[in-house]
Amino acid sequence: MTESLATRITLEVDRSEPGKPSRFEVPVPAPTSRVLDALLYVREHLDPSLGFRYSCRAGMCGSCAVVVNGREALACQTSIGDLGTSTVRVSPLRALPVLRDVMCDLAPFFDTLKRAGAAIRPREPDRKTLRTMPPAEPHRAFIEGQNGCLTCGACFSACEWSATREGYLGPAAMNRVLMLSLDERDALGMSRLADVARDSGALRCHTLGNCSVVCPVGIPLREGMQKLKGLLATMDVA
Amino acid sequence: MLDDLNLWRWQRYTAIVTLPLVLAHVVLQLFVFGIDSASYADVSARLKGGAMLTVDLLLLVAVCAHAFLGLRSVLQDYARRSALSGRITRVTLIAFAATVVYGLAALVAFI
Repeated sequence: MTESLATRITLEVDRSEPGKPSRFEVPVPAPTSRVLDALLYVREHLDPSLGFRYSCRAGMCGSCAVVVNGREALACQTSIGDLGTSTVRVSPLRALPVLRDVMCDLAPFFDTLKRAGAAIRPREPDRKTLRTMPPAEPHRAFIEGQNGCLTCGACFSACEWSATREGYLGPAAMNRVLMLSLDERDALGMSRLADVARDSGALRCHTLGNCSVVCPVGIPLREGMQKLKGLLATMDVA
Repeated sequence: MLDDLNLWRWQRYTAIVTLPLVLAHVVLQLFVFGIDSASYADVSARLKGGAMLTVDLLLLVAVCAHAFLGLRSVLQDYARRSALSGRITRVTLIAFAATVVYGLAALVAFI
């Protein structure tokens, strides 16, 4: 960033350590500058102790997920110009323990994926690669839109139940259950639904849709929950 | 039978059943029997005819089940412990049964 081109914003950052500065004047060389650029500027020029996480800077790894002006987003994909405010507030993801400043411990989120058994159990374990599902295959068409999760935790943070009910699996894990239950290559298939057919699983979701709104790759998670509930309403769940 | 999934399914089934029953009740009441025939003798004769009694009995059970399963679902939002969750289910099902019995008693008075 070069100061000469700059307009400036006030960057407010939730700090985990009392007494640390939380407001920074940061130059913004272009409207397309990202929130991550502003965080990096603070760390390089104003406060090297600022805690945040990032890796790819291309919206592929999901590690820079934070809450920007009250809404979950990837810091590397959020243009400051699009926010339309001269003050930008960056907070850590909700429903997760804060490690430092806006950097969270994602273990509780990843634990939901583990509990949901989110890894495929190949029906043909001797094959070296999974069979390719042809695009026209009905099951693939049904779950195609649900694919592409970055496991950034934004949906988990935005979900009202993840924040308030311990043990609730959350949108990402249940989206994965939906995909695997309809994947013919998976040995467990529909039996996976039994684990989410309870009040702490899919039945508790009120389909408010915050998960869909904040998903940085646009996975229709709310619609996925509706599909999952549709399966639960009609399928024989062991 | 009374696990989370079955209760959730029954809330859906009763929602589907309630809609045509309410329509049938309204049509019978307004257009077949008429709103002026609301004396004890009229209502008694209507219920003894069978059709209205059948609709009302089904409506009573479906509406009560749907309402109390909905109430259970709302209360479960606030239950943090599984023991409390189980108590909520039991209490709402008892309230459902009591309301159905009360409704039956009201219907029997006309027969």
